[in-house]
Amino acid sequence: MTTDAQAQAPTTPATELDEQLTIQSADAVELELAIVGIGGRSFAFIIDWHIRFILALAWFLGVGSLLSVASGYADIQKALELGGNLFAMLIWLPAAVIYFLYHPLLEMLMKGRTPGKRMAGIRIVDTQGRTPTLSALLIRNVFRLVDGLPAMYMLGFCVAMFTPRSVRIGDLAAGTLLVYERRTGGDELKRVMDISTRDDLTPTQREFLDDILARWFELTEDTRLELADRFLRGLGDERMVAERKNVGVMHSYLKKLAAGELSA
Amino acid sequence: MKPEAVEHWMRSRAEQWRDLNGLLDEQRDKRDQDIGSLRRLVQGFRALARDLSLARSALPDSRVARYIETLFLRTHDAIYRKPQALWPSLKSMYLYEVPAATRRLRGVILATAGWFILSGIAGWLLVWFNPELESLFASPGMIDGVQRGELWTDDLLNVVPSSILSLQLMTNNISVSLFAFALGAFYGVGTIYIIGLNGLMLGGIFAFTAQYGMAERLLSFVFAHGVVELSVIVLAGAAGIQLGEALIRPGMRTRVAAFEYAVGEAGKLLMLVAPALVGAGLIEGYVSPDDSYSMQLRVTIGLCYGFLVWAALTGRLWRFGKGA
Repeated sequence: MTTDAQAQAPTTPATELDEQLTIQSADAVELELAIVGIGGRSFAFIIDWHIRFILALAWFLGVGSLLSVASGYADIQKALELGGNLFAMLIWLPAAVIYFLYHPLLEMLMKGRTPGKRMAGIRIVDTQGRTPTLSALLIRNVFRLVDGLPAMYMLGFCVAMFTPRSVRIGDLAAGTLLVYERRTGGDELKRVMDISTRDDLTPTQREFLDDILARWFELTEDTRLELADRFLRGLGDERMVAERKNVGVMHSYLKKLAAGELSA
Repeated sequence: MKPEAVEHWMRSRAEQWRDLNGLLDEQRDKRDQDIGSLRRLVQGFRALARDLSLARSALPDSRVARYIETLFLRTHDAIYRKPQALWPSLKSMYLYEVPAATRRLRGVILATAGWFILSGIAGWLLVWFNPELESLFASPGMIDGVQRGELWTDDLLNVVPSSILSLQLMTNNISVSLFAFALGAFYGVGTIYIIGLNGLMLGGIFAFTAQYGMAERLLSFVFAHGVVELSVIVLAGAAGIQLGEALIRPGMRTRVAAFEYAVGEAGKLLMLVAPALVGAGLIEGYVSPDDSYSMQLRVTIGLCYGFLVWAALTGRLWRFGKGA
């Protein structure tokens, strides 16, 4: 599943505002990973919460309706009232399993990621920047019981607000943290090659253009036009001056420029 | 570095980066790797270290440098991450690490058991001398039933089938144990509260049933699963109290480091707690409410299962028959 957020996340460079996790490789190469703050953490959690809630609800309504119809009950409520414990277990138990085991199972299967974390472009690592072990992921999830107190992860949220690496109690216990994930897939390499091997744009200009296009739909209309105008004036590009207030035209012009269909 | 040189260098290296990226994807999706591809991965990693060094000096803070850094990090993670061999890890956990953790935590386990017993006695005395406090420990329905000479555990199987009862009890007991452990994060106070409350409840309920001459019936219901269930609550509590101890007295470590270490050490006990509770849940669902089991048989089941779990905890179970 690829979303806009996912596609854009890899291009997000660490800024000075991001706290960094500095790690040293076995070959004495020093590397830095941008640590995720409260915002990114909450964003991923909200997505995950919706996914697991919808999945659990889908089971409850879908299987519940099927079972009710097959057994001749009028609706799920009647089936739950009259169908006995077995019926209740068939409807409730898998829904509860989906809801409560979503995080531990997916984090273990997806090596420190969940669908929500992928969309937010983040992942769990240990303090050495490596993929956490299964036991660390298990421990991290056991402590959800405490982080979730008194409701809606309030304690975890408060702890993350005041800890240096924005971690909750489960992360402190397991020695894990969340970092922004940069990707290296085919598209990213192509983009890097484009930026670095175009002779009509300097790498900085190409990078700037790429960032404007990546964030285009997140920006307000005024900001889009201002950034596009600033970029084109920086290039000394006098074309399209009359159209610089037209968002749609500017967008397609910049895209053509980025694709190399127009020379700068 | 001149733009033409950058272009030339990147074009000459791009194929290898793409290849390395493909190898990493393959490695992520497949468990078994042939030696050839692993060798290519290691060789690619070495070449990448040189690329990174060049990119950092010639193109600092550029997208190319960031791309190579990311690829380097992925490759480093793939090569140096700890092996995740599930079965050997589990074997080592149950054979050596759990018994070692039990030995190290012996003092805390004894102290927690002492606290649980004291709370139980307090609960008993509280209700025995103040019978009006029974409503603190039993619901109105339970009180009415006992006053009529009926225990709430009677006819349990007519209400819920054994399989479902077992599942409900397992889920409940596992969550109580995990809570008792995790609440240790509040400097151990949360765990002390949970253990104390459970002890009070147990003592209070026994005193309440004893006043109506039904304590023996309750004991007969509880014994078969209770030996392990109560042991497990004490173990989870001991693990939680150890977390509190690490936070209060971190020793040479920082508080966070001591907490993380204590979770890793004490958490090993939980690896035995969960399977032990599955067995206890099955006994509680199938044996405890079934009147066809005599008291002698219940005591035998309870003691044997308790012996099995404690033998596994101390490692004696695995050494049995080896002369050690």
